[in-house]
Amino acid sequence: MKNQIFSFLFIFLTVSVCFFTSVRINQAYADSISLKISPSVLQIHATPPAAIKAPFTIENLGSSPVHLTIIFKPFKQNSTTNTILQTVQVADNGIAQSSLSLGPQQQKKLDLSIILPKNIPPTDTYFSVIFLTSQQDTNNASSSLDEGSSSIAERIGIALPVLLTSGESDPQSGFLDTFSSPIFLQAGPVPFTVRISNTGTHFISPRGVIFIKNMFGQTVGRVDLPETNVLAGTTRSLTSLEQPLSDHAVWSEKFLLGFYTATISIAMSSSGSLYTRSIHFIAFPTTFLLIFFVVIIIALSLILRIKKKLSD
Amino acid sequence: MMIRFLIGFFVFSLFLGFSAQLAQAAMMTNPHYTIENQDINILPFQTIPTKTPTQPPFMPPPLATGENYTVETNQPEGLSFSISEELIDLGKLTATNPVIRKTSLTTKSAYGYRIEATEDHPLLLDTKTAIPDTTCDNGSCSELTDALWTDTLTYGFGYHTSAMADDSFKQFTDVSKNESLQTIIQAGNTINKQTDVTYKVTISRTQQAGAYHNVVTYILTPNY
Repeated sequence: MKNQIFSFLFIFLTVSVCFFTSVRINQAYADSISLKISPSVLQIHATPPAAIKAPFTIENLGSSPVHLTIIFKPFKQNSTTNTILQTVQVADNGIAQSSLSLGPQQQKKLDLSIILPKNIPPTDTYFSVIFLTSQQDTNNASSSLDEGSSSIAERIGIALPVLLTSGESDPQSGFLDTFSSPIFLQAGPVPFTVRISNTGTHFISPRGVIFIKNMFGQTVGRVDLPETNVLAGTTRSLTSLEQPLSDHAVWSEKFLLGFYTATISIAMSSSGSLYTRSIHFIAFPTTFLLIFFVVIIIALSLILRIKKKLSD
Repeated sequence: MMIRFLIGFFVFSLFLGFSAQLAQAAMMTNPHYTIENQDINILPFQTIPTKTPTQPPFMPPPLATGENYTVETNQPEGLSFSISEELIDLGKLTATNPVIRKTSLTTKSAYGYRIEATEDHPLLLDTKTAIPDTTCDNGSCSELTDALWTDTLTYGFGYHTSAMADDSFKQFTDVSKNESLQTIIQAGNTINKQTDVTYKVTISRTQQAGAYHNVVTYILTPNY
């Protein structure tokens, strides 16, 4: 009997050890990767010739080391993009890097180095610096898979957009292309279409605010339009901070009644002049008022019937 | 009593209004001096024009300055991006038995962002044997369009996100076919927003057994 119990315990322990060991092996490749970059966008204003150094920080928020490949990718091409991109480097303490290794929770302060030649025409260059996790890490992880197991390796990248202006900025190149809203509304929220066109050769960063007044002249609403970059030769819709995915700046007020005036004040740059334009819209909660009148009519007819019955 | 008070108040208001508007020039003289008053027009019910209130321009200090250049940002807060795993184990694939796996993408951004994705190639056993990207039950799903995929006899590899209808899937764009990155998620300002991406693989009875593999890349770009 004792021998049987001993054999049972031995088998149980052996199986348990094997099971937990295999589980540990499977968990070894289930590490998460986490990266942080700041700031989110770099805006560079330069007059050629210039040797630019733009600081930024990258951080490994994960608990495993990461190896990052650095890629430069233009997101709008023009005649000078390639010339300038050839001079772009990411430097760590002045030493150019094409890849980067970060330990767990390690933060690195880096510089984006750009050489702007003297003969470069006044134009803009837009590109992203992408930090992409290396395939080497995923290959190492896949070696721990069971034989015959299929797999998907995952890489993540984080992009730092760079807007580079060479030459003097011209905030006058931006104008308010569209400011509109529906003329008649039954209820809020009110979507405003605000489109800024930039006909110049440099990006602009307009910001603004919409004030809404009711028919008594009281200011009843405000929609802030945060600073947004409008690239050269493009038109862009400005959105409110709460609804950045919508193509509209939205006044979230739900109950509306009467005549309203919305006035937009917009500055094409932080030091530029202020442009204003006003539009009007009417709000009338038809459904609500229809129900209200139906209720009143029913109530009146009931009162009249009761009065008639009482008088009979 | 009340009506009398209201009539009285109305008449008094009219008198006050007219007297204010019709104030005449006055003159005082004596042998030593003359004082002349010009007309004074006080409009009692005129609205006072007010200057539209605007925020003072936000001018954060530049990140760096040097000879002939300035580096600034209008998005000083950084953005972060995490993925729950770097390798998804699909196990041993068997015919008409769908394998579904989930991965989580977590982002933190104050300004909005988009996540683009692509695959290096379809799931490959060797250079020739592949599990093709799914075309879904009615053959209509692609890199751009999602469609329903519930039939276990529909084979292939695809992905699903919460932005799609239930049981709908799409193909990843394929770098080996020179297809460019496709936006799979867009969002506004978020604090630790988690988005799940669900992978699905189903193979046919004629599919060669073995360890299939590919690499899916996710790139986070802030709204600039």
